[in-house]
Amino acid sequence: MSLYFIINNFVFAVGMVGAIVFIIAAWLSFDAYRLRPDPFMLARSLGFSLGAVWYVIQAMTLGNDILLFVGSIIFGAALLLIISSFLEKIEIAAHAIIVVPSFTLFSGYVHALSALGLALIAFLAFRQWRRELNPTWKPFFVSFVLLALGSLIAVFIPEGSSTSPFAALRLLVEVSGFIVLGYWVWQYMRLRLSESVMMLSVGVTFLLATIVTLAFSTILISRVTAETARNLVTDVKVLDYAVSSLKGEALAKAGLVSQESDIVSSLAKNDPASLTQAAEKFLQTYSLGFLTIADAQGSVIVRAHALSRHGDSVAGERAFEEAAQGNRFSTIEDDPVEGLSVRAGAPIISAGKIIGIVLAGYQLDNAFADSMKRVTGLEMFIYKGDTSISGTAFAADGTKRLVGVKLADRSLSSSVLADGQTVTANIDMYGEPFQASYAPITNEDGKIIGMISAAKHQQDIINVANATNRLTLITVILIMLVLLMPIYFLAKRLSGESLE
Amino acid sequence: MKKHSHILAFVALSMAIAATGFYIAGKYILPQIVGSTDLAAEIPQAVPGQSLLGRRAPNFALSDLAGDRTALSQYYGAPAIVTFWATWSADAADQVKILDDYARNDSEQARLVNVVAIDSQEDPSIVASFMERGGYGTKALLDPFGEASSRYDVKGLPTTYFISRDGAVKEIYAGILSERVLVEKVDNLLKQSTVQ
Repeated sequence: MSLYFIINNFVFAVGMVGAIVFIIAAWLSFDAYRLRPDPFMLARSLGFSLGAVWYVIQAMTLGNDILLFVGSIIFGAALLLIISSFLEKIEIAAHAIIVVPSFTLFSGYVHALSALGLALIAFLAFRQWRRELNPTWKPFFVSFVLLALGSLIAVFIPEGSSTSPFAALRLLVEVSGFIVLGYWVWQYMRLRLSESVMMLSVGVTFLLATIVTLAFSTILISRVTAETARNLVTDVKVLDYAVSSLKGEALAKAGLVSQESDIVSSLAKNDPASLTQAAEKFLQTYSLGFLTIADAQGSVIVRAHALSRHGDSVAGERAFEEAAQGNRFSTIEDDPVEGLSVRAGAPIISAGKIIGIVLAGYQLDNAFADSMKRVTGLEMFIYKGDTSISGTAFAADGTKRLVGVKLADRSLSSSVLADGQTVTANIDMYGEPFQASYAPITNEDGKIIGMISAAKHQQDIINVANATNRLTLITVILIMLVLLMPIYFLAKRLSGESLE
Repeated sequence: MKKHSHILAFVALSMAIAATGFYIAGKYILPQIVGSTDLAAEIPQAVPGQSLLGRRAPNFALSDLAGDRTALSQYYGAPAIVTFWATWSADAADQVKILDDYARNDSEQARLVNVVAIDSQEDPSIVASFMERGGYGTKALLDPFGEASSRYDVKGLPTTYFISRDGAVKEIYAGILSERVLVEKVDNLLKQSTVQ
């Protein structure tokens, strides 16, 4: 279970707790309105109801800008209504107050203005507490101070950073605020328990629905995560197999190219122009990633895939060394021109003598990673040692590939590179969370030279969790309301009969 | 004879009316429906050394990887995205991947535009190898001697030209474009094309 998922569900739980407390507070205010028809009480009830809607939206729509914008307008209206419910008592202050939240409706600085609005409510509650000398307002005041503080902290949370210390602090402060507000609500409910059965029912319904939703999504996501991990391991093995099969393919093609008469004759005649023409033709004919022709000493005569690069030596390469001995050989090796690549060497023989060497194969570059992604549907990364050299995923700006990144988890790279294990873990790349499997890339001499990785963005898994949360919550609430209705009517009927 | 002359006059008059009708439709009504087809008259020609913005996109006729010739004029009537690239430039190669992803999204927008990637001054075997290894389906044209790049005054790779349905260069973007920005720019291009 990743930290990313835990935070996601914690945010959901906090939002739901906030909604429950606000709904009960709304009900209490409505109850007060029924006892004494006072439009200010109705405004407060409506304000708390809208506040509850905002917290539900906040809990359920992480990352959905449109709903969050609509929600922030609703919250602005909620604050206005709650503030206006105090106007009956402090008319002078009221005129100065209304300006700020109305601006909230259209401002981008929602958090800052929300903090201001919440602080204003706290101040008004404080005034009422001091005016009426009524200590029951104290928890109300404290709760809104905490909620205001939470909104103020939210101003400093970097965009999209759910794991920052500020985000954690905000959640803690908001939870504290809801608990204290819940205590304020409880004070009244304790006194008027008989009238508050429905309130309790609604509160309990939401609370149970939240608990069931969280439990269900936690179980589901645990299974999805475990299943994803298993699939990733399978996929990374498929990728490893794909790389291995390229070795065989490169070996066969290098052998065929080395026997092509155009290559043999132009090399035997020492005709670089014809050799270049032939090499270009066979690069395309055999669908190779690269094709290099070197003389018997290892000096490159032509690189069909990079015509300007010749004259250097490939004598140190394993594929060349074996081919120079008359063997065909395939391995995975690093090269200054092609980078990490599947490389096969085959001797070019004329009149019983080795006159040159063909080096052919496939680069393990971004193009290779892209083609593998089309097969698996997963993000792919290839590492030289513990640093990614190619991959399919792009950074948030959509223009930079997430390559050139050193794997931060030393124990993970050590398990793969030193012990040769296939490992699955949650990783972070340029701030993007992935669940990824790693398998070692081994050359023909049995040495581990890098890693191949199949990865799934954790947001894909979180999206499943959020969709599950929404559906489960709605379903559980509906089921519980249906179950509560007969009990409610039965209780009403029984109480009626007892009165008779 | 007199009777026949009446018939002939009627036929001639009908033909004249029909011809006038066709002329008016072709000249004024048709362009309103499908966009201007009178290319040369409305859009200023490109001038060497001056920006192509707002001017006619220079026509080209280049071979694709199968050896078939493709001309820009074939795409008149629908907006086009023309990107200049080469395999040796990492950003340009990534641009081909992004164009490929854009086309594969199968969006309504992507179906309304033609996407062409012109490889600049590379051997066909290198381009073919790259496209095949990456499994990219973007239409790749070959500009082995850099003539098209020169006519488009390409200064760096990748560079992307957004061309309206009547062949005018509406926007030039030097550097790599993300898929999101690409969608926005094509959206603008489609709106501009509709307005015309």
